Amino acid sequence: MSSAAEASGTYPDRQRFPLLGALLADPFTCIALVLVVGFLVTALLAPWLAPYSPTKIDVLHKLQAPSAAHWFGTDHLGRDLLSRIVYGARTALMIAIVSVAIAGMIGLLLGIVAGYGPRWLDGLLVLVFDSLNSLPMIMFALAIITVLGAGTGTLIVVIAATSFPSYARLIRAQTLARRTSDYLLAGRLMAASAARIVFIPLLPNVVGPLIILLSMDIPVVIMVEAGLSFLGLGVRPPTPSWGSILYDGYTSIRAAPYMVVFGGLPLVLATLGFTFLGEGLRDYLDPRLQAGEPS
Amino acid sequence: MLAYTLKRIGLGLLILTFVMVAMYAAVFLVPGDPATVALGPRATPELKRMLTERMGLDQPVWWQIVEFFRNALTGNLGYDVWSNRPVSTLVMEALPNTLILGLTALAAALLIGVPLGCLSVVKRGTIADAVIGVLSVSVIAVPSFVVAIYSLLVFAVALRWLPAIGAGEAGDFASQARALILPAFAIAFGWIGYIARMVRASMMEVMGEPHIRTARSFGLPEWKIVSKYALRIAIIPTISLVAVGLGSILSSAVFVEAVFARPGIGKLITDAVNTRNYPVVMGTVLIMTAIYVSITIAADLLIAKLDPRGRDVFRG
Amino acid sequence: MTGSLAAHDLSVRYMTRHGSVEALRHVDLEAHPGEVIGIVGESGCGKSTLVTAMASLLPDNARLQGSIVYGGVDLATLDAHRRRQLRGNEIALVGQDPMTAFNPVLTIGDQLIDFQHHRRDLSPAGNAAPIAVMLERVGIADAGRRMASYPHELSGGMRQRIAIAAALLTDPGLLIADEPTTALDVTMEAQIIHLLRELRQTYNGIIIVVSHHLGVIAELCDRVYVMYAGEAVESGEVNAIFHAARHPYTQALLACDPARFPQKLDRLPTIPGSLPSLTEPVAGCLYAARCDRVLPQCRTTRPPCVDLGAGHVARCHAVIP
Repeated sequence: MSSAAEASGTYPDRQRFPLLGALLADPFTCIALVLVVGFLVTALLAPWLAPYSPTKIDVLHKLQAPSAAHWFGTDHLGRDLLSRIVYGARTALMIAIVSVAIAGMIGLLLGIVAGYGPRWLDGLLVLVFDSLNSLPMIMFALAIITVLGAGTGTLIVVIAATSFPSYARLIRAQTLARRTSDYLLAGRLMAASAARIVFIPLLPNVVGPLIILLSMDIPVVIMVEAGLSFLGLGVRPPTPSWGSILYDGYTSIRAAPYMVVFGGLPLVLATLGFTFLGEGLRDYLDPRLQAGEPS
Repeated sequence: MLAYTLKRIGLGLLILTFVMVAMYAAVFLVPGDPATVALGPRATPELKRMLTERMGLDQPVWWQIVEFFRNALTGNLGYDVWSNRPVSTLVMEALPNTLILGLTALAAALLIGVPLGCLSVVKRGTIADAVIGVLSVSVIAVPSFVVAIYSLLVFAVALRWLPAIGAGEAGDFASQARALILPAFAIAFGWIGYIARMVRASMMEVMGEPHIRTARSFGLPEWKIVSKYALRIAIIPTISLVAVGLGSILSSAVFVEAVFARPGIGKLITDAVNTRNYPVVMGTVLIMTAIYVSITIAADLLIAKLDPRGRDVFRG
Repeated sequence: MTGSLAAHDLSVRYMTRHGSVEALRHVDLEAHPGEVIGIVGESGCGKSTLVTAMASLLPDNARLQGSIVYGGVDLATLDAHRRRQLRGNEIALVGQDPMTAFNPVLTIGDQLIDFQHHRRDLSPAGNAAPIAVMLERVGIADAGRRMASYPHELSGGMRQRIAIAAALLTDPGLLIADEPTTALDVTMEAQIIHLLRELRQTYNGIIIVVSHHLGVIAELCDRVYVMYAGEAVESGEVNAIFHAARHPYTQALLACDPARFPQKLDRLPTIPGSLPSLTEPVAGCLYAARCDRVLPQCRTTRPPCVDLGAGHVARCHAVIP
C-alpha cells in the first residue's frame, strides 16, 4: 500500500518523525489516519460533541428523517441518532482498549511462562492455545455468554479470551528464541536474575510485532463488539453501541431506512480506517506479515 | 502419508477432548447453580428440583463428567432444557441450512476471488491491478453483518429484487436459491477480496521462481503458465487459509442468519443463549468444533496431496 | 530450421531503482550451424544477459539496443508473440540450476509433454514415446518410470540431463547451455561434458555454451568469446585463445587457473581490483583499472577491435597485430 513511496525509490523527508513521514506518503494511509484520529476524537470528546443525550427518550419525535434539529434523524424511541452514534464510538473504544489490554497482558504472561517454564507446562499451554484457535470464535463467545450472562463485563471477558492466544504465541516464540541464545548464557554467567535475562532482551524485540498485532486486532474487536451487541448479547441497553443502533435500524428498516445507512457508516469507516492504518504500519515495520481475515 | 494422517487425526481428537472438558467444566463456573440460572426469575423450588434432576446436576461431579463423555460418544449430547428434545436432533435439523449457506458462500468467494487474483497478476502494474488491490483490502474490513444489512436495504427493501427473510419454500428449489443469494453474498463479500489478495501475493512469489522461467523458455503461453504451472503451487497457502477461515465463515453465518431470519445453527444457538439453554449451546459448540477440526485436518491432508514435497517433512 | 546467428552492436540496460545498469555493451557475436561457441568470463560479466537476450527472455525492465539476427530475422524487432513462437521451437535454453529448473508439483513427463507443444507432429497420444527415446539417449535408464517421477525424486545430474533432453526434443536450430555444469559435482560434470561432446556428432545446429569454468569451455568449444564487464574483450578459435591469448584480461584469467600449476603454491594468483560499477558510464577501457599493461589512452578512449588473423580478435589498445 505504500506503493508511492516504493516507486519513487525514496522515502519522504524523515527528519524527526520517520514513521509519520512514511505513513503520510501513501494517500490511503493518510485517509486512514484521518479516519482513525476522527474516531478517537469522537470517542474521547463525546460528551462535548453530541448535541443531545444519547439516552433521552422522546417518543413524540420518533422515527424522524434527518433534519436540521436531528442531523441523522431519530430512532424508534425518539433518541437523537447522531448523539447515539457519537457515544457509540466511546463504547467501542472503551471496550476495545480494555479487552485488548487484558488480552495482551494475559498473552504476555502465558507466553513467557510457556517459553521459559518446564516442557510439560509449555505443551499444555500450547494445547490450550491451539484449542482456543480451533473453536470458531463466535461459538466460544456464545458459550461464555451463556454461562456468564450477557453484559459489558462478559463482553470484555469474551474478547480477551479469544484474543490472547495469538499474543501468547508470539511472546512464546520470542521467549523460546531468547531462551537458547547466547546472551542468555552470558546473563547466566554474570549471575543475572531470571527476570532480567528474560525481560530485558525480550521486550524491545517483541514490541514491534506486538504493536502490529494489537493495531490489527482493534478493528476486529470493534466488529466483534458491534456484532454481539447487534444480537443483543453485548452491551446492555440503553448504553449506545454501534451494534445495537444497527439492530434498531434493522427492525425499523422499512419505516426509517436512514437509520441503517447512518448506523452502519461509522462502523465501516472506523474499521476501514484501522485496517488501512494497520497495513501502512505493517508495511513500515515488517512487510512479511500477512493481513487478517474478513469477518 | 499414512503416518501423517494418523498424527493429524490424533491431534484433532486431543483438541476436541480438551474442548469438551473445558465446556463441561465451565458449567461449574456459573455463579449459582445452573438450574436457577436457566430458569431465571421463574425459579420455583419445584421447577428447580425437576430441572436439576433432568440436567443430572444432583449427581456427583465425577459421575456427571463420565456420563457426559459416555453419552457424547454414543451421540447423545443431552436434552434441550425446555422442549426435552435431544440436542443432537436439534443440531442435525439446523445444520444443513447453515452448511448450504457456508459452502455456497465459500464457492462464490473462490469462483470470483481466484480469477480476480490471477487477473491481478497477469495485469500487474496496471490500473486494473491497483484497483483490484484497493478494493480487496477495503472489502475485508467491512463486517459481514453490515454487508448483510446494507444489501438487505438495497436489494430487498428498496429494489425488491430478492427476498428479505427466510430460506424459501420447502421443496421449491428456485425460491430457496433466490433466498440464498443475498446471505451467501454477504458472507462471500469480504472473502472475495481476501482470496484475490492471497492469490495475487502467492502467485507473484511463485512467478518469480526459476521453474517458471524454464516454462517460459519453452515458449509456453502465459495463460498456461499462470493456470497450470503457477496456480497449482500458489493455491496451496490459499487453501490452508481458507480452511482456517471456515470457522470465520461459520461465525459470519450466525450473524447473517440473524439478519435474514434464516433457520440454521445461528438461530439455534442465539435463541439458546438468550434462554440460557446450556445443553443446546454446549452441544452445538461441540458439534461445530468437531466439524471445524475435521475441515482443518482435511485441508492439511489435501495440501499434503497437492504438494508432494511436503509429505515427508511435514511438521504438523 | 537451422540458420546462422549474428549479434551486432548488442547492448542491454536494466532499468532499476538505483539507476540503469549497463549489463551488455556493444557486443558482436557470430555463430554458424555445426559450431560450438563458448562464452567465458567471471560472474557479472554479462554472459547470462547475452544468452538471455538471444532467447528473448529478458525481463520487462531491460532495454535492448542493436540487433540479434537469427536465420535472417532480427529478433530485437519481433513482437512478444513472435518471440514466444521461437522459444522452445527454434531456440532452446538449458538453465543454470537443475535443482530449481522444474516445477515441483508436476511430474517430469507432464512437463516434458507440455514443453513439446510447438511440435505439431507429436500429437498428445504419441508424445510419450519420442520423449522416452530421447531420455535414454541422454543416459537416463528406465525412462518410463522417470517420467512418472517428481523432480525432487531425481538427482541434480539426472535433472540436468533431462533438461538437455527437453531442449533437444524441440529440435532447435540454436541450443544454449547456460552454465550447464556449475551446479553439479565433478563426476556429474564429467558426465554432462561427455554428453555434450557426443551431441556434437549428431546435432547440426548451433550450440552455445556459457561458463566461468575454463576447463569446460576448452573441452567443448570450437570458438570462444571472452567477456568482461559486459564487453567481449577477445574472441577466436579455442586453441588461439587458450594457448595464444593476447588481451591482458584473458591472459590474467588463464594465469589464475589453478589447473595450470603442476605443483602446489603458497598463494594463488589473482587479478587485483574488482569489477567496475556497471551503473556509471565509463570512458575508455573497462579493464584499465586492473590492467598491468595500461596505457594513457586506455582511460580515455574505447579500445578498438584489433584483428589478429584467423578470426582472432582482441579489443585492446596494447595489442598490436
